[in-house]
Amino acid sequence: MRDKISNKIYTGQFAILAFISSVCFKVVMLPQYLTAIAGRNAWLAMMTLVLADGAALFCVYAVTSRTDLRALPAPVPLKRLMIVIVGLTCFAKLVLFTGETTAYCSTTLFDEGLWRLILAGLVPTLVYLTAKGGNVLARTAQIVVWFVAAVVILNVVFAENTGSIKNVLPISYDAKVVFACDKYLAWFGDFSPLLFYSVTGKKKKNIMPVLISYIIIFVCTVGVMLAFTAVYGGGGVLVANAFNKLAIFNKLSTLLGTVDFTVVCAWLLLAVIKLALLSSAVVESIYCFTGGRTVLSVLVCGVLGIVTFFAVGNQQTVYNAMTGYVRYMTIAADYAVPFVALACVKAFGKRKDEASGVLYETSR
Amino acid sequence: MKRRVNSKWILLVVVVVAVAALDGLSSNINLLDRAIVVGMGIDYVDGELSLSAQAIIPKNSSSASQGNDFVVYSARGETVQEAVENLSYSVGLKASFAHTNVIVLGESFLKSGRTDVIEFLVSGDLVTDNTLLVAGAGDAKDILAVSMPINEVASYHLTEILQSNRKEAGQNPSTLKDYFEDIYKVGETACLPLVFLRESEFGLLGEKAGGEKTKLLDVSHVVVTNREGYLVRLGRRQSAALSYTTQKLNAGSISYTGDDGYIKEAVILRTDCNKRALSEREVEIKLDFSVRPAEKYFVSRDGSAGGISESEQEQIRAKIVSAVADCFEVCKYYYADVFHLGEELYRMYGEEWKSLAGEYYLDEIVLKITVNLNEK
Repeated sequence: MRDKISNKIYTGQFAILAFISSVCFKVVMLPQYLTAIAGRNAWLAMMTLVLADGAALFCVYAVTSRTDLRALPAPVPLKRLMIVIVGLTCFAKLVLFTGETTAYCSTTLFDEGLWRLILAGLVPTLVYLTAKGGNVLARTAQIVVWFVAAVVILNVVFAENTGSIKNVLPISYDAKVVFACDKYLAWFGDFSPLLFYSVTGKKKKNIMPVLISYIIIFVCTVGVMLAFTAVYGGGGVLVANAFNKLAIFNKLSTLLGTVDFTVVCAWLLLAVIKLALLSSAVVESIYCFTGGRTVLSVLVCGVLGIVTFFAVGNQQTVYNAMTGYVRYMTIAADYAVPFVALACVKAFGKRKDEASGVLYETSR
Repeated sequence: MKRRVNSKWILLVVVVVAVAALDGLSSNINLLDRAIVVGMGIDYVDGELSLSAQAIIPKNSSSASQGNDFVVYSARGETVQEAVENLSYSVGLKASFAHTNVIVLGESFLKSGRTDVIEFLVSGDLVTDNTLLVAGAGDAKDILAVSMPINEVASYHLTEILQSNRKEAGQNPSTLKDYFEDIYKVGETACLPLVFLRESEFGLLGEKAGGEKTKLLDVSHVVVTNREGYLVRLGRRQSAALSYTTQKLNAGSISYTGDDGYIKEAVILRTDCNKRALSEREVEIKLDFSVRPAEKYFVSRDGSAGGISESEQEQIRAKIVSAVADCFEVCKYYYADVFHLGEELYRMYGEEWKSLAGEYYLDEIVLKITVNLNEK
């Protein structure tokens, strides 16, 4: 039967998915984590890893504008190894970020937040989005991003200045910054799930949307970190949910409640897409070896639910794991794999082209 | 013929059932079954935290009550969390703190050294970071429960005073966020406006004679605190001096003796303050004041046109310098770095300065105060 699901997306959609994938979980709990180690220089840690992410992003784009990971012109064992590494890392991150999402919802949206119920609502949504495939996810992201942009712009325009940029001083790129970069690697390198997509369309060689997306990613992540430090100074170490807490300081919402509601809604939309992107990557990696994407979607999200429900228990468990040795999987999956994949495209793709006239392998 | 069921409809039904079922399971409490807390007070009584909450009960509210819906409830607990839970039991309804405008920290609490409470309020989502924080002279509960003229509610009244007059000389409002931002600066010193009750000649409904006697809230003083709590209470003049350096003022006045011998006032139009480290032991506080004479449009009693003469300007400058220096000296005695001079030096000279300076760095610092006065 012909597979109706397609992972072909346009360059603009790739840029939007890259933006959502990168920004979403860097602006919530990460600022507090980085501040706890690097203090006021936490923004330097953020900047360092976002710059590294930039290199990974352009590598991933270079690969996906020619082929995708499943059809990569590479020796089969190497290709399978890369697929397994990406799949495992994405699953680890999926568990981490699902925990973060449920923690966020239970603390900001409910006064007696039962996180297991939030999970029960989240898992079916992920199953649906994952089963529908990459182009549906990309289209959803394209719709959502307008709302998010409007919310962010409104919050910036009506921001009440409650901080001082002097709080960032003294600037010093010391060992603490490097240590913070090392410990929170798992929150970076978010583009490997996009390796399962291939960019299509007439403008697929136009890199401008990706470049603009990266500039926005840089401004949003490093900017939020700077704003966070400017507002809270060293006290940022006590502030979870940075994005929410910063949104409180706007001229419109001072009397509305504990959080600026539009920011919560915007972030939740981003979180669902980011999680769907990760679960989709896990499904795609298994799909390379088996088949039946819908069944796999149910299985993967079901396992996610069970793991989070019973094995993880609370956010601290997964936090400990992801700041432990698991974090080094990020280097392999998110930084090494895109470079190796690009090298394969350059090396084997050209050879195949010369030998057979077919540019890239297209079968699974 | 076998008819195929449309999967979209199945999905829709599943989603609707899930949403309805999850909402039912999440034990959400109706707004009418809550107590909406607008002001909170924290005292320390018999080794326990005493939490007072000025709350409105939407279920009991009516237009006939004429604003008498606000009641102060109290509960105790060893931790804030416990006191919050106990508060719901004492009210008989779930207490919601999302609309808390102001938190009054009672004197007993500030002197108890309970550092965990503020950290709990900051790191949790019980109240927002822009909630106003004030120190109470006496019990926080008494301040919340006070009767004021025209039946004002203490929490709202305090919020009004501190938000509307925050740019007036002498006012030093602090939010929860300001407080812990300052506590995490070098010197770990923060300032809170001090609220104390003053006798009022007005009755409950505003009439001068008869009726229940009321009290007024005064917030013109400041309490200096560190991580452990209460350090020193500043006088009115020192509090005003502090506001010159922490706020961009646009109201208030400074009195001076005119060349004609009469007491006059200069109205503050705008102020600005810049702090700058001059060396590793010297910090400059540079104050810019734009003022106008209160009697600008009148001819002076000695017949000259309204205005502030050079000698009068010099007198005003000296008065400002003296007030700021006085504030610095009082706080220095308690090792309270209210002007965050250590922070300025740290920003300029970094970790090296911090490690060399030690705990009592204020003793070494020379404060240079310059005032630039512009008459408008």
